[in-house]
Amino acid sequence: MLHLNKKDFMKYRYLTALSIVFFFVLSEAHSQRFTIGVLSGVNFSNPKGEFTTGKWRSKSGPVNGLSITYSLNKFLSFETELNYLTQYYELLKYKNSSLYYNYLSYRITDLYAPYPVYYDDNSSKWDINLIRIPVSVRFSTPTRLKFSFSAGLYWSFTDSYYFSGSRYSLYPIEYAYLSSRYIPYDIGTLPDKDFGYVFTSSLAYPVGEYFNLYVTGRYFTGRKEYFPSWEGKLRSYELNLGFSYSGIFNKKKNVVEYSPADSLAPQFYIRYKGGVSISSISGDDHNNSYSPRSAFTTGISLVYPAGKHFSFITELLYERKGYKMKGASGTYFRYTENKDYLNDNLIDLDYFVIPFLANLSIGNTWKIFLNTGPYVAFQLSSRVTGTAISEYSSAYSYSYRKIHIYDRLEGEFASNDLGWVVGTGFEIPVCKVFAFELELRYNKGFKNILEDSYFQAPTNDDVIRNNLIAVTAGIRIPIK
Amino acid sequence: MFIKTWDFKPFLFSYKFSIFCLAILVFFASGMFVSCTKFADPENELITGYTFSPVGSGQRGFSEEFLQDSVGIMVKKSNAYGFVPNLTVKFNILSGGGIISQATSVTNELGQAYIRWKLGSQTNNQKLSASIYNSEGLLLGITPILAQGFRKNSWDTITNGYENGIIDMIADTVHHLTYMLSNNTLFRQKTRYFDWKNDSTILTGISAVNTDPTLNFYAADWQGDIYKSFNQGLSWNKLAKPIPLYTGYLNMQVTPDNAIWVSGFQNSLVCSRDGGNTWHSDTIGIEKGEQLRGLIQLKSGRLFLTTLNGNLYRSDSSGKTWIKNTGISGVMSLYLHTNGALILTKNSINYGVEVFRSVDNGDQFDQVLKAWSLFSWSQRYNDVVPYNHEFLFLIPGKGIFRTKNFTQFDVFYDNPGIINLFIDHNGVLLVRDNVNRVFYYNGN
Repeated sequence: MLHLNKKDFMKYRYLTALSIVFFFVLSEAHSQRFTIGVLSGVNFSNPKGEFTTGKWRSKSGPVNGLSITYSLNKFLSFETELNYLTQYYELLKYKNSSLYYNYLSYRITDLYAPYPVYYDDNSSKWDINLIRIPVSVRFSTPTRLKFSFSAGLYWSFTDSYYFSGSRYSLYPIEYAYLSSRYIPYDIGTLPDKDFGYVFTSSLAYPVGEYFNLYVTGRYFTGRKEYFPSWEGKLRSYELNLGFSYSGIFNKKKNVVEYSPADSLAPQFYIRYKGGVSISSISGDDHNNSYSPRSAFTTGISLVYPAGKHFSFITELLYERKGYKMKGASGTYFRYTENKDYLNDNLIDLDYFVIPFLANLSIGNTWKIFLNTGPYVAFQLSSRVTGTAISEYSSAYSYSYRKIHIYDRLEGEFASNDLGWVVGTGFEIPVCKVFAFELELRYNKGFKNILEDSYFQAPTNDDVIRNNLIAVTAGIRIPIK
Repeated sequence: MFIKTWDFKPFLFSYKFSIFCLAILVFFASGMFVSCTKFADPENELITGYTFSPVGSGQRGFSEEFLQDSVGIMVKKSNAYGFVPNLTVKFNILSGGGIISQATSVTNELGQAYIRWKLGSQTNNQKLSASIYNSEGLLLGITPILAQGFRKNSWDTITNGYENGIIDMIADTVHHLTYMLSNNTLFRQKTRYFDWKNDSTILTGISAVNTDPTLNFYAADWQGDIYKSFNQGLSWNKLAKPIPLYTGYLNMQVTPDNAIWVSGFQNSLVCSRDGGNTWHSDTIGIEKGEQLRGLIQLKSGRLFLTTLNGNLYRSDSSGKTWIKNTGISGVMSLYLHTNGALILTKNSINYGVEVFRSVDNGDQFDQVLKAWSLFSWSQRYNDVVPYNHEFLFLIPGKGIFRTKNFTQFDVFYDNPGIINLFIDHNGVLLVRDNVNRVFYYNGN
């Protein structure tokens, strides 16, 4: 089933081809390195939207592609690709496991049979084949083991898709509070193109004169609503392995040698780090409804020494923040005046955190350091899981329910955060080249991460800010 | 293109390659960890569920007497088969006064708990609550049980009953029976004046009822047909279709000379003087578009016709020709007193409602009452009933007055919303207001 708009695809294909020609011309003019590559990997779907109920399963799919990179200088390069990938999206709605009875019959002697056990047709699946053209600008370290970070745009075209499940949603999400309004909406029909942003970090290593092996982690986030019932957009994470060749138009051989660690001070370090954290929130009046939760943090740092005892550090960290919520509330994730549910829930707020730190250290071999600086965080996903007890009593019925919760909360929390980092630790040299580091760090969020909602009321919690204490261990490696 | 200068061995064991491999492992491990984190699928699991059904709710009875049937609760499971025994139910009177046979009961193997309820006299609408508790004493729900108690010398309100669409009534004091026309259905009154039996198996879709001086009953249906009963409604015979090819509402009146007068929507007056066998269009002098509201025949044979347009016509030729009374408009009703006086009620721009009386066979009408009314009323309604050797006189938008000779009036029921007034064969009043509430008054 082809959904490609050929006119648009042709237009963008010409744009890419034009870009390639431009690169050739420039490369001839400036004799800069021009690299082509192939990549393959896996993508994990994670749609973004105003999801409030149900579980979007993260599913993996294949990614393959060709890349072309034009290096402007030893730091900056310009890259485009042609990818073919398949993304799998699945929404699992709440299952209602109850027998439904014809309880309107009042006659004592009724020997009625119940209706069969009622389960929602609670799964909808979309398998989408996409042709994608990302275009990005990359910053790389001018070292042999090359660390890169890039950001850019992409266009994608739906080649085909397959949908299974309950095809019609009863009403779009914006009418969800009007219970008398039922508007059927076909959720099985998807748009034929998308546009969005891509962020990549990669590590490349030369394995020959002109060959490089690289691994990338990528984040794609689309702008077009593919799932209007939930204001849902395509989003995915990718892990790719690639192989590139830079011998086209290159007159200079790049002799790749094995060399031991240099005794001169390196220009950059990278640091792999990971650790455990305790995350909590601060804000409104009902803090006794919330409690800290343990989580983890992992990522990579780029360290630029600017002196013997001073460095600049930027990092790309994956941090899970959030909190626990226990107690009665009208929602699953924050305190409200209504006491509809007795909650025992865990709220996960996953972020990519990018701190910009100044590092001060003392000592010559063993060092004690202090880090401080701002951070910006981008929300990757947010969810609430756990259980809630709902007890309902009326003049004509009573029910006691246990709700196994999985709700996405993207619409409830802000998509980014700002704050400040303060950390301290020590560093021990290992094997002359490496260094082992242990750090205790505190993150304080300044921003209210709770989105405006119509649940606002004087007695509801309307302000939530992130706090995090983490203990991380890392290994610092010089790169050049 | 070929890697000639490479020696793979030191390359593979170089620390940087190791770092590179470590990076790949870290990337993939992180991705696998994040993507493989297990969360339970969302589910809404019903652990315990009950439904509560009131039994015997909505009964009617005399105040200070026990309801005919027991009242109570039936509890069923909503997530499995069967009833729920051994739940404690506490009963409590919430309104109306009255007493109950026991305050606490326990559901039996069929999930039922019953008590007897003696109605009070404080209010007409009475309420009992049944609070259901589980074995741990947890309150599961509170179910209301309702009843209506009918009292003497009080206005008892019905908001949701058979009688709330009442538009006409036949009260036969000779045969001691009463029929009510409500919501296009004939109801026959049972032994208790507030109980009614639906007679729709005999006749359906009825739009009007009437009687003749010999107490034969007449009914018109929405198909434009007329039926007659010679046995006080036990059986009916189709009499005629007075307006050929007509389906719709019929206004019907039977005069003391046994003439049957009928008009339909956008159809003028027709009359049968031979018991419905033949019909004549007696409309000379009647303006086009007039519909029958009421018809009065004096002992002299003079006929007075009031129309839904508010006009008054007179005929001294047994209805063959008519003369319009141009001095009177906005006529709401016309009543013939037993002493021969004519009582006419009309809407008045200046005064709201005016009441006129004529003692000279309608040659001249004199004003006897004027009153501001809450609204003007132009539909058919029953305005006068004999009551305790006097008369009750309804003015829609004003209330019910008591009068002997229609010269002096006392307020009997100050309720300006009343739009129809009936009395059954027992002397019990039924009145209906403009929001379809019905009020019973038993002054016996």
